Amino acid sequence: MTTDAVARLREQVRRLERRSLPHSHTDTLPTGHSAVDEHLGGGLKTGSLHDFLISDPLEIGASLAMLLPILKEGRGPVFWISDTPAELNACGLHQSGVSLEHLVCIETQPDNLLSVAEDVLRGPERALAVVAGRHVPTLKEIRRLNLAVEASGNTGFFLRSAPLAQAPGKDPCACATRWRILSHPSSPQTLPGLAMPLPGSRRLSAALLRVRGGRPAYWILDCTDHAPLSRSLDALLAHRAPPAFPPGKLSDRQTTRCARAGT
Amino acid sequence: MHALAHNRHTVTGVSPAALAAGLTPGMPLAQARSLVPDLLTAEEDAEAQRAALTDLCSWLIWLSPLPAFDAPDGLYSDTTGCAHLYGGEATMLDLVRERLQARGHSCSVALSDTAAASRALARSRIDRICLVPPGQQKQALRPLPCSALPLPEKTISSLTRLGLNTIGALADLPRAPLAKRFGAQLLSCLDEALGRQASPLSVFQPADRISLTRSLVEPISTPDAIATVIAALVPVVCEKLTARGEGARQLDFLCVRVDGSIQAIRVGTSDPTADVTRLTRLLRDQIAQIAPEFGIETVILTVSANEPLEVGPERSILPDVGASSEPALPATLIDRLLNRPGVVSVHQLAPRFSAWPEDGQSRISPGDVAESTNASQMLWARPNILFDLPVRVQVTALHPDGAPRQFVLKRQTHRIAAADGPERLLGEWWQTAESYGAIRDYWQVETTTGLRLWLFRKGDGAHEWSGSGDWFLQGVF
Repeated sequence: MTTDAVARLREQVRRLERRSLPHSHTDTLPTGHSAVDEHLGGGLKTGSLHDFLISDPLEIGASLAMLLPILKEGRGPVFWISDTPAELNACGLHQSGVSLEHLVCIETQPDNLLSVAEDVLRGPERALAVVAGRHVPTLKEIRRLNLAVEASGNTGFFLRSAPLAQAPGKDPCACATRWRILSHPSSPQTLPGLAMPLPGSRRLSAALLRVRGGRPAYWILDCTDHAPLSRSLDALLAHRAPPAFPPGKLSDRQTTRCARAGT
Repeated sequence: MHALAHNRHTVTGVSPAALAAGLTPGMPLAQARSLVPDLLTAEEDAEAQRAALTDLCSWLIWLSPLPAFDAPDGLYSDTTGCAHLYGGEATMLDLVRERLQARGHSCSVALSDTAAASRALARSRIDRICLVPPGQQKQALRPLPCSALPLPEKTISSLTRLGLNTIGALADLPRAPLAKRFGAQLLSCLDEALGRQASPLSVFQPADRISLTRSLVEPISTPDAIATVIAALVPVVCEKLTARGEGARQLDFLCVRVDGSIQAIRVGTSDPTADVTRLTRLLRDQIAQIAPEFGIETVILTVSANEPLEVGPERSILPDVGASSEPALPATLIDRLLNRPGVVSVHQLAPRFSAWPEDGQSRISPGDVAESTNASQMLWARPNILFDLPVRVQVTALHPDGAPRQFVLKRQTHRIAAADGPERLLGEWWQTAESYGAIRDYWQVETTTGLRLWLFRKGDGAHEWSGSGDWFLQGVF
């Protein structure tokens, strides 16, 4: 075999492995959970598509709890493309750390959802796109979008409704990863004087159903950085003091503090 | 109208009514006020006057293609060879005056062989028409005062002192002593008015709309052919825009079909641009909207809105890896999306101060977001997903302190493991009567399966006036 033929074969292999593209050095978006990042080799890959299955409309919060910190990591604006008005809440997103300056909501007609997504993902501008629609994309459509993100280095996320009973997520998948994230009961904090315990830090049960070139995995994740304690601690203790607590037992300093707190 | 001159206010312009009351331009403002105590005055705004005069000058182009300025308050128009279009010179002057009066100006119009003579005639009469037959301007100018000529104040006062009150008296004098005493300017003024010396006008060229028309050799109907035409027209338009230092905000692309009907597409941009690739791509995305049917024989590309190009750093179009930590929104992509068929809306979210959470945000056009301050000060957590229409739920059990224990949503019972609340919100009593005294108690709850939801109860649970006591689901954390 001549060196010429070897060079040609090498070139072919490089094309097959898609190393000829300008964005071939893979960047990753860390998820913020060390176990997941370790398994994925640093986080979710840019220049690829990621599929999030939502088993119930009320479970979308769990997927967002996983997705929003990832979006925060990404450079460039975030395009939220949906075929229905997005039910996003500006105050909540702000508290989750998403910059509202870089979030653009796009509402499309149902037929145009994927073509708009392709336009955003293929463009030379750096962007992250979240595609939320009822339509289940076929393998062909996903592959087309895959070519778009490979060419541009942008990253796309699908948020799609897939009830556990109807679509268990075992069907073939052209995305780089496929997730099903459910909420998991947290360990509530019991504080004195409250009939109902306060919700603890958020817990997710994250199932990585498919990953290109890796093994599926399952984790229980703790999101520690969610909502701060909603009020200062002394107000909590003073204002919600148990009614059975005899007032004489409070020391003078505590009584004055109660008065200052407005009880 | 008055202006500050030599440390005192002087009247510079008067209305016909004020002129009738005895006020003249040049009079001190204090004197004018003493003559007419309830005088209505306004300070002169040179900038606005110039803009208005420019407007009027570009309007005057209907009369002849050569309008010119006579600052600060006059206009020339070279109507050589135009009079027959309006049915003779007298009719034309009538028409000019009529149209100017319809625009709300009181004017005096004069037509003669030379621009300087017309100027002198027009300025010496208010609200009249003066038509001088060819070669007669010497007779017409003879009775006019010398102040009708554009001479310095000092020359006019010394002419008056010498008893030379009219142009006729001036023209009769021998020229050499006049030139020796007053300089060449007086003589050149006089010569220009009498037509002995030609004076050029600086013709005003109004900034018209950039519009390109191309008649095609053969009717076209394929998208490729239309794309070729667009690719040929856009660089020419961009070149013209760049020469003016302007950028397009809106482009109209009109296709005249063989049957005479017009297919129009319109694209807008979010900032003024003269970028060939950007505009070409915007127009090319719209080709699907054109129905050529039997073919297009003429295309017209018009810049229907343009603005001066902003100087400053170029917005980032190329992807720069890690160069800028604060990337702005890509204007090109936003434009493309806004003009794209099939897109219902492109917007950004901004928090807004409002009592009820469903009114707590507004949709704004991309790029207008200011860094919000009030959202960061919010004490309580807010959900990421919020329903505009709260969903009715049935709470079947309550704790003594008002926290829900269990609720039914779509025939499914959710047991609550943990709850935080209540956060009490009061209605905007200053807006409507029904939100007067309205109360909502919000709870963040976590069900036994781990769902985090935002529930609220209408009313405080004790008083009928504060709300019905029904429970609703409003958001998902």
